[in-house]
Amino acid sequence: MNLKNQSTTNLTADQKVLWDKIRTFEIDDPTSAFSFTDRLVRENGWTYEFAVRTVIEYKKFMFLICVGNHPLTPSDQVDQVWHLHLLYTQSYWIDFCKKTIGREIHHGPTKGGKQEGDKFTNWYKKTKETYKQLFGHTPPEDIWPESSIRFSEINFRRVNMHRFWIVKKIPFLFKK
Amino acid sequence: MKHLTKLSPAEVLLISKNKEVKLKELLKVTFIDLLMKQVLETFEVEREITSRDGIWIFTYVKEGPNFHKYNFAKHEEIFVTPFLKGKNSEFLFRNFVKMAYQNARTEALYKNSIYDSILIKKAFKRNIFQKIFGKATISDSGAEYRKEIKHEIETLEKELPELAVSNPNKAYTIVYSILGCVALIETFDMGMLKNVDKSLLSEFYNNHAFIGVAGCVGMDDGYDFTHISSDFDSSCGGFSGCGDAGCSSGCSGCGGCGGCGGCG
Repeated sequence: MNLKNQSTTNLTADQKVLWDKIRTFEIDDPTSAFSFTDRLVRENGWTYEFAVRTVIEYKKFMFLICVGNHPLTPSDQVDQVWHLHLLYTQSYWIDFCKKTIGREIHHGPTKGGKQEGDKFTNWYKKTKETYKQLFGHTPPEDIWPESSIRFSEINFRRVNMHRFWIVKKIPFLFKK
Repeated sequence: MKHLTKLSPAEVLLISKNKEVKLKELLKVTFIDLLMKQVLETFEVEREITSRDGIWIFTYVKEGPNFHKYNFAKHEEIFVTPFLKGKNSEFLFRNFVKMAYQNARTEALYKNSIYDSILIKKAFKRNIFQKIFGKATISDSGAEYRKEIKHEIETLEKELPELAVSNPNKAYTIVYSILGCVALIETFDMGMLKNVDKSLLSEFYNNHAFIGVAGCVGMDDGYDFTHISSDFDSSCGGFSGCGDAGCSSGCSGCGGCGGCGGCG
């Protein structure tokens, strides 16, 4: 999904040009039977609508990295898009970084520990503030949850769906 | 054309075929209908992809000029909701089709949304179980509608291709009175209408409630509904089993990635 003319009133002329380049960048390959979005949907159990919306939030995050003057942290949802894009090496490094935004954006995983946790919480907050400032609205809550959720609900693992069922916990009976 | 001018193509299909009609057919004709009404629009963009040689064409769907003035029927809402969450959005065609499929949820639920249409409610009888399972029995008046609709379609299948050659203006007028139902006329495609009088077009834009503004699909923009139709089929082809088409175990030719521990 591309978002045209949306919420760009706070951007400078140069920023608008850059945002337009990022916005129109297409990660999906029209010749693939199983596209980037298909994989995103399957690997995360998302709906197509959510996946497509999250890709645009990923693009916004990349834009913020390009124009921001401090380190930024994505939501977990946006991070999943970034991880997957990094696997499509030609699309990420050549088509996106080199040809579209003209710079390399590296992904920096956490080193762990409380200090790192505090650092990323602070960066995440700043990321959302910058988002609001530049795009003129708060980021969507379902893709950019509040910090308490972002940094507490991080217990994910890969599950073989051919062998296992996944049953949702009943919130009142089980602690997170 | 009593029925084809009033009913949406999905309603016509349901009266004509009832339980035989598949979800994919209903979605396809509804999508084409929304394109004809300029509620939605498609456009193409050419792009280079590093991993593939040459220029590739990407097709997108966006809001059409009539999007904000159109009153959506219940069964058309699945094509609208993606645009309500992101103003001025543009979706890659194949992703849009998959979203519509997911939004429709099941054939039974989607058919229910059409059976409930006020325009065709009398054509069906439904008990509680049929309502739950998205089924219906055609009523006496429904059987009568079905006969009349069949006659209208057969007449157009015979007359429209001839008219497109002998009197394109008249063919055009007929096409735009039935809008998306033209997708049900198997012997006709929009490409046949190449010689329509331009003054008729502008008069038509000015007088037609739906197709007013920025040029009409079909002639000027050269919409090829056969193309749209087959693209629709191929886009949802991989959907039901989504997944495994072209994807064995994942990584093709990956030189070994170090793994990323997740940020934050």
